[in-house]
Amino acid sequence: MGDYLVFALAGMGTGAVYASLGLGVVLGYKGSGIINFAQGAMAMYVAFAFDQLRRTGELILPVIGLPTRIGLGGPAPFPVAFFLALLLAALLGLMVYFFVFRPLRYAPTLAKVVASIGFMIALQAMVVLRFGTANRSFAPVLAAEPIEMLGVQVPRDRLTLGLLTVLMAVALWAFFRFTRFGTATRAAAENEKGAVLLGFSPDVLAAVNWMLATVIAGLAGMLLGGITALDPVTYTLAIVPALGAALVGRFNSFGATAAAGLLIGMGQSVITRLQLDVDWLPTGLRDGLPFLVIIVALVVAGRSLPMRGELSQERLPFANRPKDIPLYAVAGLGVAVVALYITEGGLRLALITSMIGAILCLSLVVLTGFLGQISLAQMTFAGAAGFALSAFSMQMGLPLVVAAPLSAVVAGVLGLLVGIPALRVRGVNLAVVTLGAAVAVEAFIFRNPDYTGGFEGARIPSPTFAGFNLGIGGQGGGDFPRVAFGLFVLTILTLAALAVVNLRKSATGRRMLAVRANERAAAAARINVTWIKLLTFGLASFIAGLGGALLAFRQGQISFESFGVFVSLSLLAAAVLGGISSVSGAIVGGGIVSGGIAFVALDRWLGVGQYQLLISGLALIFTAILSPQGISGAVRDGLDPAAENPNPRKRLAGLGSGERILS
Amino acid sequence: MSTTAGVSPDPSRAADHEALLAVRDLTVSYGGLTAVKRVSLDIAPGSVVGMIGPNGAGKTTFIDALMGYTPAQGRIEFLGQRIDQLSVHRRAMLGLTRTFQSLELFEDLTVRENLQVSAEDPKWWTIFLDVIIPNRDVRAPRVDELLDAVGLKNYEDMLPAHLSHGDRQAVSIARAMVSDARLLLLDEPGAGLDRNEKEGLSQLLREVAADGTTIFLIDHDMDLVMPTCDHIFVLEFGELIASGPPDRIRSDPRVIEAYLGTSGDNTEVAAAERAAGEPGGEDR
Repeated sequence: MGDYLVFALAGMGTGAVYASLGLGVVLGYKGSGIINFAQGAMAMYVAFAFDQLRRTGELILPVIGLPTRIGLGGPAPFPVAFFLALLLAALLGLMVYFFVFRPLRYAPTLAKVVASIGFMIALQAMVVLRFGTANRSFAPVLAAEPIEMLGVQVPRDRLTLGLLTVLMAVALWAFFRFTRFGTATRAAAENEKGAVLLGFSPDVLAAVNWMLATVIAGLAGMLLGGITALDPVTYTLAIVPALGAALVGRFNSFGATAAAGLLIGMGQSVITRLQLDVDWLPTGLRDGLPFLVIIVALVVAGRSLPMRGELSQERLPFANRPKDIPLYAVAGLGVAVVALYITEGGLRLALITSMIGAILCLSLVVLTGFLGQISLAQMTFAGAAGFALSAFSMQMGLPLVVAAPLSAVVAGVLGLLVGIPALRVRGVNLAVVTLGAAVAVEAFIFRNPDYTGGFEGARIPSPTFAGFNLGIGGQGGGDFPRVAFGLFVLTILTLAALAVVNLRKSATGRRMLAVRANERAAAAARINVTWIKLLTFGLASFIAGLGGALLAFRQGQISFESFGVFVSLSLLAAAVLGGISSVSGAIVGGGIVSGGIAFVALDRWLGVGQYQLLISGLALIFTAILSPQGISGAVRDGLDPAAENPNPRKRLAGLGSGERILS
Repeated sequence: MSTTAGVSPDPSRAADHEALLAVRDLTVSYGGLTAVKRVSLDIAPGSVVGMIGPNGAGKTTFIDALMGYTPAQGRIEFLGQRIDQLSVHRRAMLGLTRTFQSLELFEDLTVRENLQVSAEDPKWWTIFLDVIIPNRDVRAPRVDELLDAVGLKNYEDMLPAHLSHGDRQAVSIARAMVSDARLLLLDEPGAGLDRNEKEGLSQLLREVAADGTTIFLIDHDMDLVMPTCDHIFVLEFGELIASGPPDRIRSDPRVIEAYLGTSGDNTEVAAAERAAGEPGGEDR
């Protein structure tokens, strides 16, 4: 038993980080109504900057255009590094609020989530560029010699961290309870006008809260760095347990958030020990635990985010009724076929990747553009289809004409399962659930070598149809990638695109948009909202599954890395950039997916390949702020300036119901 | 559609008819507050029935409870079938629909599509056909007819956000009517309409009722309610305090007192008196 106690207490280290990130998320939400998915990435940046200061005395700046590093002429002593890093954290929080989130105050939830994710992608990419991907272990900050407690030896630093977290939660609680600033923030969370009446500008409130949040996150990052080596991905994804903790605290209670964060960390540590004794425990349980917490808090205990009374609300981009489809279809097909024949090698591969990317983006057009629901797990569905395809064809020996569609059905069924929480929660809550689901499915299934072949990956046979080789490679090398595979992908893309166009024009598509617009009124119009939501989740995941199966054919061998959370996020980035509410947007989105034609071209001609993630993150933020309809919408407006813009950006308060739909 | 006002069943005989909607002891409580208290009423088929009452009397809550938007105790029968345990869309499928005081239009759909969504009643498997042959709009003639009836034919491809308030109200009413529901619950359909538009609305409602659709209407505006309705219920503090044909309601001392007693809502009193002074209304 003593062993378990040691593990539980040792887990307070990670728990403290989850708790502090959770506290930061709560602060940011209270102050501005925005969920900062980049909280973990911000903590990472501050921690790495702190470490660099102590090692070499260089201050690494996060802003492109400014000098990358400012030398202090030798390693900085701890207090100097510590305070410089905290100052940097405060500045980062302030800048992010004013340049990214303040312009989005009245934007629809989707734009806020997208910007938040764009920032997370950009910051993570920036850290990788500036600090590298390697694990970092810092010089310890806290004294680590073990002390005797409850009859066991526990490292002192873990206890210190746990204690600090509790102190932080108490301090925040007191600050919000007893100061005028705290009262005004609480008032603003209810109703922004209320804060104005108390004599505080909502901007000042939000900015100060963001600075506080970043400082707390940075503090946790620095302290944790002294305990365990960390890499950028681990840091960034610590946002998932932090969101779980914040949900338990209802994005309101500092005490409950801190306690939940600590408990999740301790629970994970205990699970690690437990797996030595209980061998039937699933291997992914440790990483899946935060998702279980999210599901229980959100769906079972009904702890959704508190609503904010905001001054006004903009709507999601308008989903245009497609026109002149035969013309565009024939022209598009012609261009694509010619392009497949005249390109070769890497460029042709990029073209094929873009076509598959377009299919994946179509799934987001259906789910987000038509139904208005946000999914951060689309590549998870694609991955489910890819691994299912491998199992169906390699292990069960099913022919590919059966195995491929069946694997997309598997993705559709997984989509239905993930869609069930969507019946209870929507908007940003759903984004949180799907993010958690993506991490959990990766942990439980994709990383489980029994299901997916481990690091070796799962093999996929080359597709053939009626004797024709549709595979990407020939038997004895030669032409790669083959045009036949490109035409095969193009055929599936065309069918999927036409199906989505038809959907938009049909009764079912109208029902999806009616549900997106107003669930109350939809029910009065005989629409079974539950059914439409499940149907759409299933359909969108089926389309993602088609993309996943094609991706599997393209690679011949797949591993969990192709379907990770960051791939899902970067897919969402491409879909939103291209245009989330139209088929043409999905086609443009396909062009800019990672490995797609736009980035390969950029890399070839401008040599900016390593900046790809950074560029897409920044582009995502700009899209969210400047052009919610994406590139395809901006082009449509540009080509036809006389046409009335059906989606005026600002709408009067009170008339719209967008707030209810997507908050 | 006929152009003259339809003749509705004599409301005094309503109780003899098989009621289209029968409500018994309907009660809605929010925490300690009882918004609707043991309301019982019958609505006869083919009639235009009004419900009036001061602000906060529970009129909208009553409609919310009839449609299933808010949990309620009591018994609701529609077409002889108990519906009080059904979900909103199930009740709608039986032929009950409503409009909203805040309109709640589908802002992401064009005016025409707003009506189409309401007119269509696709089956669950329709999606498989929809992705292949999308344009199978069998209800289009009915949609066209209603767009004409409310004067929105020229705006059919616009988004609701670009319409005037009166036109938005018209979309809301047309959207409810196009579903061919047996009973329409209209929540303040006259709000924001000018005098001419109200007269047009009153006439439209009479025509719709003459065609066999029953209408239940709540509104503040006596100019609309008095001449349009065959029968009026009066709600105060969640309780039914009077019921009868418009003439009787006008002179009912409890009704006058209820209206005078509410923090001097003079416009409504004045409207009630004006309507009382013009027997039969002014729009016929």
